[in-house]
Amino acid sequence: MKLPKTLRVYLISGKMDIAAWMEYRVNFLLYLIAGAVMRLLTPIVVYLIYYNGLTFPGWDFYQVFFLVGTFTFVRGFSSFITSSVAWWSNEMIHNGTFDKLLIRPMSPMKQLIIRETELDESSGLILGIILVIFSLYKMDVPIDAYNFALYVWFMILGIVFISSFDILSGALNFIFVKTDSIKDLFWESSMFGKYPLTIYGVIGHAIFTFAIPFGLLAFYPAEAFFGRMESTLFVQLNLITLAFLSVSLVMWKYAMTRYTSVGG
Amino acid sequence: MGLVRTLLGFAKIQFSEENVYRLDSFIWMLLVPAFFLVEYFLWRAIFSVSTQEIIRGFTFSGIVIYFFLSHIVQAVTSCRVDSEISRSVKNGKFIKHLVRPINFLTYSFIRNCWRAVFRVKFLPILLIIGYFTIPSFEYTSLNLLFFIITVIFAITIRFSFTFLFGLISFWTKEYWGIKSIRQGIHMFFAGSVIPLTFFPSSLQTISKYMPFQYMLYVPIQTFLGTYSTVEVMNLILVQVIWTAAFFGMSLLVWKKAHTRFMGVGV
Repeated sequence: MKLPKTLRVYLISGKMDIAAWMEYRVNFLLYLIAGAVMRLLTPIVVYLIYYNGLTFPGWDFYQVFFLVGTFTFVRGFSSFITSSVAWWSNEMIHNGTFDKLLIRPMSPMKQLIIRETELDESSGLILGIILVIFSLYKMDVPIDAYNFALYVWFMILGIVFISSFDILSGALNFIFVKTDSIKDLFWESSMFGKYPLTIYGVIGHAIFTFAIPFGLLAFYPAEAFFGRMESTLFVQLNLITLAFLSVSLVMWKYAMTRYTSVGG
Repeated sequence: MGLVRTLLGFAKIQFSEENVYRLDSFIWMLLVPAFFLVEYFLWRAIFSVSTQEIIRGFTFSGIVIYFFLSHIVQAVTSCRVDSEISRSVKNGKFIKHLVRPINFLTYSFIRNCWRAVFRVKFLPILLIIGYFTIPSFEYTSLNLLFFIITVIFAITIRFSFTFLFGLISFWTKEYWGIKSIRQGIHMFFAGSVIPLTFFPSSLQTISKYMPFQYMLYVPIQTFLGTYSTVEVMNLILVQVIWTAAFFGMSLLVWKKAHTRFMGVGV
């Protein structure tokens, strides 16, 4: 079976990235450790909270660990796909090299996605999987196939949502040339999704469900896994994610028309 | 007079730089309160189901003030001199620091101090949010004075420590990985993710022998009135010792480090 063209090029790019990283193995290892150290801070905070006999309302220790692991995985996975859209568009628009992408027979966004596979970000992916498996093992609950399918589906929605943020961030790079903070704003604001939404009260819960669905990054996948998901939310969250993706793609298309080859 | 003119010159440069990156400043003005809000809601939820009124020495009001001040101290003490050294060594622009008629360490320190002053602009939105979220609390003017003094030393420790670490760039090709590991350890042992009293006792003991708590945890606890006057004096002395040690080591390492600069890209 023949793989789609974009995926083939992405895999070739991945191979080249691996080869490049292997030239600097110690550096690669340092990047992985660095990523893991920063990402471990949240699980450690959770551990210390429960170590001191405290609790999140309605969530036991391993359930929160499961949620944090899911959050780490979703953010880690999205790094592989679209974070290079936000990073590289910022750089290329500023130094004028974005021109190159416009003359090639592939859409600029696809080129940005395949430009780098962000292997150094794999610590998020690995740590997320470890946390999820560890908490599942400790909880020792039977895995319901339907709930597990919902869990995976909501994680996909979470990845699509956070990827929309990357695309939006990339689009804004055309308007505000050379600013690192837009990436930071989109990336850091996702921290609202790293704990159960119930901590934000009714209004916060509603905002992070319907307005900016940070709940998709971990809370709703975890709720679905534990069979606590309200069925009415399923359609709504799908539509909201689709809306975010559509808006970000429209913004990207519009923003590209404003490209003026600064410094090119 | 010459010194004042130099210092004002640095202030002017810093002001211009801050004006160039207005959008960056505005975004961080929004992000810092956002970080605080996550911590506020997290601890509000934890206290709402806890049977204890005081947890590890903190009331709900105390922990909210702790995180509120934590963001103020972090904003004022934050230092990126290591990234600047790393970047300029890599692209060869470091040469300009070697031809300036001012010692690089002094130059960087003055720039960092002005940055600390200008970083206060991150705080208005945080102060407004603090007004609505912080329950009533009391403090004495002596504690406020001690807080200001310990924050000043926190700036000097953090700068000298970061500078010393940044000099590693003269030996390594890449610095980002080392920087991130240092940052993670720093954040944890400084008490910026959770107060140190929540640590197991063994980790609390280890943290006493590290410089990180003197950059954040100690100033905040000083404001909260955790320490007696004698204890505060001792802690300030420790801060002075850490500052002297890191500045001394920075000077020593600098002598060796700058001779390794190859001027790549000049």
